[in-house]
Amino acid sequence: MWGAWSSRTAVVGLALAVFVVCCLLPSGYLLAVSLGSATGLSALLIDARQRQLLSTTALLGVGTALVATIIGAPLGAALARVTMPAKALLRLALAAPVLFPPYIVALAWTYVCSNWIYTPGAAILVLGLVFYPLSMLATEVAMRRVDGRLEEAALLVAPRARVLRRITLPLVGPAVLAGGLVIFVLAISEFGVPGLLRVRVYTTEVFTAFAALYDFGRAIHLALPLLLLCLTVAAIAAWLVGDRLVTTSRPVGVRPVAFDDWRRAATTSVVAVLTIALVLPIAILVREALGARGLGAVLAGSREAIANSLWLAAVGATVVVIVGACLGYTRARAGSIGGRLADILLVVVFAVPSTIVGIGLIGLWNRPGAAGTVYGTDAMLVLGYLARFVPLTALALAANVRYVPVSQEEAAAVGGAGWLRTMWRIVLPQVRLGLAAAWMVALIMAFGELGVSILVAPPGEATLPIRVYTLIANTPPSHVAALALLQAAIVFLPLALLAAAMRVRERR
Amino acid sequence: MSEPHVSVRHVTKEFGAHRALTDMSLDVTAGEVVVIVGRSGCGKTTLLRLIAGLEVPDAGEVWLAGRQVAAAGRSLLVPHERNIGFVFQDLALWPHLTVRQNVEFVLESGGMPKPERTSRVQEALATVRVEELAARYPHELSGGEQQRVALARAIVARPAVLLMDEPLSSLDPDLRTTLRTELLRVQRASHVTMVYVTHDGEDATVLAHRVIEMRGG
Amino acid sequence: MPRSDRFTAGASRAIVGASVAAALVVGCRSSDRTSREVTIYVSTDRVFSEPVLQDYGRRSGVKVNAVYDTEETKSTGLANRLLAEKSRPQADVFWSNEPVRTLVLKSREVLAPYRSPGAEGIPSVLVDPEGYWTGFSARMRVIAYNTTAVKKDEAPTSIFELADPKWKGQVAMADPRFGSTSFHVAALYALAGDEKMDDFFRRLKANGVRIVDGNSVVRELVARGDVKVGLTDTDDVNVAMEEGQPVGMVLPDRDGLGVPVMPNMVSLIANAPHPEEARKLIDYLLSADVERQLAQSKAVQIPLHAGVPGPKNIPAIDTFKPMTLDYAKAASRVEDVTNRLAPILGL
Repeated sequence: MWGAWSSRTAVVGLALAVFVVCCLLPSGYLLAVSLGSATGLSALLIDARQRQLLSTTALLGVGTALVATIIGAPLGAALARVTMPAKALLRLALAAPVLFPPYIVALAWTYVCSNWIYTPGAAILVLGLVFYPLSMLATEVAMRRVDGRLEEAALLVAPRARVLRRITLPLVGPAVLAGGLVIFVLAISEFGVPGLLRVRVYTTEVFTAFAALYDFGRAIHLALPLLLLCLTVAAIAAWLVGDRLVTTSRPVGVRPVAFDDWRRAATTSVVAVLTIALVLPIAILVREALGARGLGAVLAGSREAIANSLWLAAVGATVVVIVGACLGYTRARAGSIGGRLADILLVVVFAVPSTIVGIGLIGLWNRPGAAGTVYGTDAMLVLGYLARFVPLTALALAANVRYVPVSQEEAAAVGGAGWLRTMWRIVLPQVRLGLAAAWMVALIMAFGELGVSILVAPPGEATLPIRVYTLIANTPPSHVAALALLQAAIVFLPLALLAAAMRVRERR
Repeated sequence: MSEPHVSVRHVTKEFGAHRALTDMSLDVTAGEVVVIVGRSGCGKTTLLRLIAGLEVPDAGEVWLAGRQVAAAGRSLLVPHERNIGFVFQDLALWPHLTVRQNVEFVLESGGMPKPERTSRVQEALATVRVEELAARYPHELSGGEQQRVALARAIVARPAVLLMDEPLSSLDPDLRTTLRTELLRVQRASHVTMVYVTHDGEDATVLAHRVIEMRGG
Repeated sequence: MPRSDRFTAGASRAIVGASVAAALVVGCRSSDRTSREVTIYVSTDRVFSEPVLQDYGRRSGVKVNAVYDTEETKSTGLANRLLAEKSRPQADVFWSNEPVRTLVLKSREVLAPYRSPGAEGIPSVLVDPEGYWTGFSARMRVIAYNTTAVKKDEAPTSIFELADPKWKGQVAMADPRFGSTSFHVAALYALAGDEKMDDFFRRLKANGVRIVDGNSVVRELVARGDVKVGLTDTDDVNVAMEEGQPVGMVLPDRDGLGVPVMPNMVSLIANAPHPEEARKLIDYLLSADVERQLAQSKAVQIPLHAGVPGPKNIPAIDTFKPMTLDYAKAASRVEDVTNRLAPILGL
């Protein structure tokens, strides 16, 4: 439709090139090098103990995804469809738990409950309470896109509960599942929280190969079963979703049905979740931080790190969303087989442990010549963000673009617009909400990124998480709590500003 | 008229196992209205999409105004350069733009200055009698009003060819008659070449210079 | 001329312009080059090492680019970064806080020999005969105990007592695969032999030992009384003591196997970008001045130069028997020991 020599070829081609260089090459070339070595494929076999660890990891991942979805999805639905006061503020507050590094939240909980906290169940709960905002956001965006006519047609013959269950939920199902998949990957990539809570997971094996054994080859080989696990789960998810995503055949715009009958239940849930997931951990951390002495100097010295983090995270989030949008668009318009393969690839790339990405980036860019001039600058951090987060935003934005029917693009094409104009005037305006959400998630993740950053950050005050983590080695817990609160507060600011600027037009 | 305005020559189009068109040929002279009737799924929409350039024929050629625009397996002219108006079956109005913006969008791409654009848009809206709705959004309009907006959007750039895919199929009989008459009036006044796809025989009777019946494949 | 060209052309120009601007801005920050600078990767806790380095920067006028490390269980650490950067080193000096890292790097040919004049007066066992590393300011591995629950004379005096049923469920130690604990267990295996140590750890496991995230967690547990005793480092215990928490320490096996001594180690990086400045920094770090600073700070690290006053709460190095140890041998056992302990301790 757009022709071979159009702006689409140029833009999408560029985005794909960036994806290959930034997301695939770092880990890909490490993988090729290590598989090519003598020990090669025989190392892929893992022993019984490691298999046990892998199944624990899978359980942790699935459990966290379930808990986060059970908490987050109804909240997202409520934010989309139930009248509540000060909704923008509520949304911000409900999303706030994801601003805290999971390790810190787990630490806070260990201060108050020292018995049952050291169990896999507790780990699942803690991680679920940290990651549920992702499910909430995904659900809300999807719910707002549901064609009201489809629900109204059902309301004529069925009560609200049934409509919700049989019509609305299946329509948002794919988006919720996608959110759950992302949370699964995030959960199994965690080794800080399981380490603290003494839950034995497979990811620690990969980590040990680096940190204790300094064996890159072995670490990469150990990572493969983990990636295989993600591939399996992603494939299952893709099969479950199928191509059921509905593209509306009539223009969207009928106000989606409100489910105000459940207002009281919604309000209660919101209060409960806010208390447990946000208020309580903050209270614990604040109480801990109040005992801090000599904190003033530490905080004052953080100014440069704070400025760097904000700036780099903003630049990173912007670049990530731009590349992710191009890739997401391409995926959304791809055929069903190609599209599903792309989904699986994106999930697997997202699952590559950050350490491997970091080592790969060093190997790729730390060489004489043009690449070497990039190495040693802040650009490496942005490259790290691209490597880690483009797959995530691509998946999210693909889901959003699928809600814009192809016929609208065709209408624009026939009406005389080139591809760029069509994107700018027709497609992008309709996925504004998704773009904003993706940018915010990318900002949060980039801001809190540690695994890659610690390997590629140039000397000097690079980012706030690096500063915090290098400082908390051997400082009293009061300082740890204070610094964690600082980090969360800092990243909260741009989000609050953005949310205020957006002022999502509430229909109720 | 020696040279046909729209010429589809021996095109075949397959979608996987399903063959939509087999060795289909059609010549439409300038200013002619060809109405294509047939049951659903017999390839009528595919034919329109081939002429518009939204699909590429597996075999055969497509010619517009004496110029070849498609050959077997490839497009030689992108849709946005074919000077075509298209009314889609699902209308495909852009939900985030007002009626006026929907129609004006087509002219913006061509680099027309603003004053001229405004008057042309006004003219198109008046033609289909939706001037009072200019500031509304598509979801605020009735089915018939949306149909008319889609039509206005298709004719505002004064295209050489107008392709219409079952544009009246979901309307009630009265509205259908009204709009059909309007369409007739527009076409006879502007002499635009029109290829009109429908399964309603009444459309053919009123509008067509020529009727073609298509059977499956 | 295609009708979409105007928009496309304008948009393309805007995109290219924005990209160039962004690249310039992002790349700009790190490209200021002063004439004299040195880059040091530091594994010793930032809280202690940063003041020392800032001091050096002020005194010498050299720009010190420091990269600090996180706790061993939070990230993979600087040693891996040095290994990855081996073909084109960015660092000049490596300052580590326990021997294993340095010795692994030596075996991977990341380090270069440099015999600093500052090494004068440091016991020869704590200086690499080949000149690849020099030890200074040491910590010890100790047994921490909760002073409210355990009286001073009841506290265990040897590591091996921890497997005693008396301490069932009351012992904590950090994950032996990482950090100073990994050094400690590797040293024990190197000195006492595989069989004895395998047996000890089995008994320890049966005795309900709690394996936790890191040394600071051990300290927390002991301070709160969740366990009565724990294995940790001198600086961890000292932090608790200074906060007024009920924690005391015992130097284990003073008369037996010996107390594990972990010196800081400083090394020159092979093919360092600023070798001259690197040597000067190493000389400075090995000075008595720095040892005094580190002794007096919360790090309470024991000076190795004779005549430098030590920290208050910690016995001086000549008052106890240190583990006589070939650090290289201990480091070489780490991989094997890690693999042995994982199933024994159920890691």
